[in-house]
Amino acid sequence: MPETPTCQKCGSKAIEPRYEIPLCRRCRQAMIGHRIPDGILAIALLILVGLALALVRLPRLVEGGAAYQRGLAYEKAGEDEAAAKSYAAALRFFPDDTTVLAHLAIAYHRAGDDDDAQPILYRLVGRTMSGDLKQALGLCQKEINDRRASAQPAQDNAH
Amino acid sequence: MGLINILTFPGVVVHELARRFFCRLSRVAILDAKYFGIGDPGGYVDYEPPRTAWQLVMIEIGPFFVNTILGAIIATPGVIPLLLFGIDSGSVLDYVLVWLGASIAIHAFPTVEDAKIVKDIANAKETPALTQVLGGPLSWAIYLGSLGSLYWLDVVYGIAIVILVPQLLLMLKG
Repeated sequence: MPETPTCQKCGSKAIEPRYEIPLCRRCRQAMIGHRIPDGILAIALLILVGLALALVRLPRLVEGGAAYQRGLAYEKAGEDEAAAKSYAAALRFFPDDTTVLAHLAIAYHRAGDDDDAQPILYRLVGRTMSGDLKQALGLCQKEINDRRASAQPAQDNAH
Repeated sequence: MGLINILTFPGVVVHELARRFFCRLSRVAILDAKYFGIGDPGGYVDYEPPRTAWQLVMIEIGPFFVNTILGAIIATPGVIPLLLFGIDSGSVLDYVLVWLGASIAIHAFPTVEDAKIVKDIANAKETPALTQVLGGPLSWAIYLGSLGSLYWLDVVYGIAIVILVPQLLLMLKG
């Protein structure tokens, strides 16, 4: 007569069917819930903190990053007003980012809005940035100064 | 590989915890487990034979998706500023998120032995047709990927995930 299989752990006869290893429901449940060491739980907790931080930041960064990239595309196409709008939108998500500010100042200036470009140019004085951006800002400031200098005698004459 | 495991230990932990989760989901007893350790492999979950081929495929391939998705989500907010404004523009938090995300994505692939078992079972004649259709090609892809891990493909895969997913997201949003 064949021997009735019993649970490998507790010897119970009520083993769960269709499994190769004979275990009763309670013993299998205990083994499924295999203990996780405290150190691993601590690491898992830190990973969850990282995940939470990432999830909080993700929508803002994707929104801001996409706005910045739209600005670059408009700038390349010579659509300076649209570029300025996109950079201004990007600035809401990267409030003090040097690169976004620099592109915004250049876009304002090229769109003929020197009044909005000038405060940003002052704000960027002394900041570290790429050589190309620095050169573009320098040119911007020079053109604004030239425009203002040429506008000044006309105003004096009008008076 | 031991040094890589140490430098990217969160990935090992996530991979093994994900395997434990899929064992639990399939009601499969865990015989022994090491969630992280110095050496190769960095971790393992030894479990009883599942009742169905589909459960085995899920237990072995599930962690691949968990590591990939979790790695991409965690790394993306850190990678975006670096992609847009240059490598020196990131904050400490950005770099931590990139490291954490890349560490997790790098450990997406199972070991060659595990991948081979899944490939053989998913493509076996007696395996149900649906499991073969869903798991067959995927198990082959993962098996080839795990073979590539011997030549650092896992590291290349992890880095590609953390670089390409943020770009894809920006492209879709733009």
